[in-house]
Amino acid sequence: MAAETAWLRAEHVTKTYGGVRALQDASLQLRPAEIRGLVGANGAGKSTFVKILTGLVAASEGDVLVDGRALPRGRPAESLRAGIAAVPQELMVAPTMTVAENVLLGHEPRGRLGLLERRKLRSRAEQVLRSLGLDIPADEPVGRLSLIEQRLVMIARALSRKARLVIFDEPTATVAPREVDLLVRTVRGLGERGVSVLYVSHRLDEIEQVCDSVTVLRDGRVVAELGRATRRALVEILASGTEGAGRRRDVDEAREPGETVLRLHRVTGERLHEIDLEARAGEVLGLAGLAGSGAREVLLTVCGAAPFTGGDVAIAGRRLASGDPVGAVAAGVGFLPGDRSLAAFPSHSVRHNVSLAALEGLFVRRGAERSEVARLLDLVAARADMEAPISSLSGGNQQKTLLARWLASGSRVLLLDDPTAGVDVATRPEIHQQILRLRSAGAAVLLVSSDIEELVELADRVITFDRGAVSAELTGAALTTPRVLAAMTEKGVSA
Amino acid sequence: MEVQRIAFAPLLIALGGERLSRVAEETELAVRPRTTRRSLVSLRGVAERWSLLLAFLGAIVFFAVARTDTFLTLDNARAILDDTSVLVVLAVGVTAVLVIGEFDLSVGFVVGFAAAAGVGAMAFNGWPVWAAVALSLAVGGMAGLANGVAVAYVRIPSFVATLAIGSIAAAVELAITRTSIFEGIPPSYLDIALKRVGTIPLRAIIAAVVVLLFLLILRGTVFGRHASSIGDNPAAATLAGVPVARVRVVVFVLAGLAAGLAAVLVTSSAGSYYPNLGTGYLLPAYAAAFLGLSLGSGLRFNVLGSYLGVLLLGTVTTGLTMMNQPSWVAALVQGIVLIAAVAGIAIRRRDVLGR
Repeated sequence: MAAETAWLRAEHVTKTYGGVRALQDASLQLRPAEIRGLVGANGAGKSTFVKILTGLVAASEGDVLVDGRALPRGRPAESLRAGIAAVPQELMVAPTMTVAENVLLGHEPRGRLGLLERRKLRSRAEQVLRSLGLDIPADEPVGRLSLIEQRLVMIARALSRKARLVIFDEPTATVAPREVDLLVRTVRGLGERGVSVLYVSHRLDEIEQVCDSVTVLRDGRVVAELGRATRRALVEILASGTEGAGRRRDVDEAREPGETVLRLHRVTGERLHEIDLEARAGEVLGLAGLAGSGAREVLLTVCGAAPFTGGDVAIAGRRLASGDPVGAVAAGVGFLPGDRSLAAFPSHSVRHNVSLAALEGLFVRRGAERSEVARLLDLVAARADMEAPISSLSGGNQQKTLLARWLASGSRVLLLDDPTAGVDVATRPEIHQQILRLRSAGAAVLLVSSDIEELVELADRVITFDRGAVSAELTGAALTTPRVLAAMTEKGVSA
Repeated sequence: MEVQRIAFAPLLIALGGERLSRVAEETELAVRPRTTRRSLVSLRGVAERWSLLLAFLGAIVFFAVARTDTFLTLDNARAILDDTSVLVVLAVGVTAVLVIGEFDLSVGFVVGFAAAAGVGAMAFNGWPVWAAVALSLAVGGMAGLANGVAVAYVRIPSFVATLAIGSIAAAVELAITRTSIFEGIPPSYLDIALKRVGTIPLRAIIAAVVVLLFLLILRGTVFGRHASSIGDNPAAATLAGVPVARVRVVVFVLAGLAAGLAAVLVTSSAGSYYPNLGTGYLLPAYAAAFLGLSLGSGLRFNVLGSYLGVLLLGTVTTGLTMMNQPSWVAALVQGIVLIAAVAGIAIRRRDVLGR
């Protein structure tokens, strides 16, 4: 029974920033080997809670107790020593260093004279990797690994520090579906080794799949604690108290799309092979494929971020130069990257962020800019102070703001890369609505998403990619999640 | 009890303890009515935003008290404005480069190069004054173009590129001038440094006009918005359709033009060209720009902040000289002021990012 009692307790933790309560009287207990989900809309206090556990932020009230002993507040080194390690949302690896060096970064084995012991470093790293069941070469520079493997290296790093609790903050936000399985298996493996896991995610299916128990936060408070929770139960809890959640698209509204706006003809690039593709005004074209299959690469090629070596890309008959973002934007292309750090200007105001692509002429006309930005923010239902820095907004509101940028510039072709990644459950449908609104306003929307259900729900057509080539096109009744998944994963399957 | 705390908090702030005021603010939260808290927070915010101006005014008050008869005179104010004009022009050019997130370490060398070209043309080739001024500006602009192309198109890190191009400029300058001093400048050229508009020295007016011009470019134009977006996130600027390379080149050209103008301001006052005349300006120009970073709420490089930074450094130097302090004291004080300012910025940035 001793193993069943909680070793870590967060008791009545409160955190106030200025006058805002980010977290209020939140408690959490963790038993050894327990895999606990932490869910809640953005701004519910998840990341604050995580930061208090890891000591990055000092609680205003309440304590985190490890084996009954309170951790000093706001001391990351102490939390780490107590066995609390976090695998953050962003990758924090040194790309040119080897896997082994990254795994043991910061606590490398040292011999006499304090010199590095390379052999020991390698064998220890291998031991950790093996215990996780990972087949990653210890001598490989981390930069050469896939993103998911890099993330696994970070997990190995946490373990090598004898972590008793590993916290995952949105681990799958930028991971392809197939790779999620690997991550899920690794997380389960941690539990089997007696390590506790706190799994923070918006993806409720993952929570259902992985977690033994779930804590739900809303407005800084713990509103529910569940044992094994189904996705449906979680959606209900999360959706209660939020309006308009889960609004579905009316399938019958499908109407005749307009003329062809975007045409790719035999486009070949580093990861694309002779792609032919057309998108018409007023349609949402879904692009599906595993990481590296070419779906995302099409977006990068059209927006000018990746060059193409053959074929041509044309917007409304006008050919685009290869690797020329300025020309692409001028031709009416708007690209919303999946990684918001590639789109937002963090220290700039919301106003600057929205208007940037639409500015023309010599001088900025502030009055016109203000009223236009206000109109657009209203349109996309972003709750944001125009003059506040964009980095002060929640992920969902940032995404809406960045969408407003391309509304401002009047883009005819919108390239959306995983637009709801890292966006909370309540804001997701709002983003979906915006996408459909763009469609009815006559834009050609190219949508890439790691969430296949999202693609099926929103897209008029879905084109699947495999190894740099189009593998299938699905429309109408054939457009179902299993079909898309099958086409993505089996080469040459046609609808 | 409550009253005591309220009375205490501003005192803590006055003592300058960032941490202390934070503690004061947090302990207040629970007990104090909202309005008082807000005024306290904003008081701190205002103090932070205008700390550079406060330091400047503080320096004036200090020297006014220490050297009442000599410091607080119109002559001295004029002298400070006139003396700092070269640095103002350079610092403003440097600020534009810092705004796009790059460095231009060539400015000092470019001043020397442009000075040699302008003065040489007048002294040996009998060029008229306007042509010599134009030549100095053109030389500065060309150096800026070289920097810009090296950074924006060849993609050499600006730190290295501008250091190398500056070194080449200095070498060419010394090779052509054979490390000698040129005199024989027409008197009308010297007038640039001697003339006054009303009571204000022409050089100070020129510097102020350059400040206003750069202010307009960086704050009021689409180009300026593009420049600051590049400084904040170059990848995002590229994807948003900002012509990143072109903007970078133009900004380096602007900084080069500023260095060319600074050369004219130096030589018209010195009455000659002498070797290595620009090298001493690099560090104070950057010091001023970093001091200026603290001005306003954005924690971004800005023209007015750099201007005020130069004036602060100039005032401190002049004041300490008047107090008969050896020159190392001025250097020491400047260093301390700079460290304090940059440390303050680091703390504010951490607070803004929510720690």
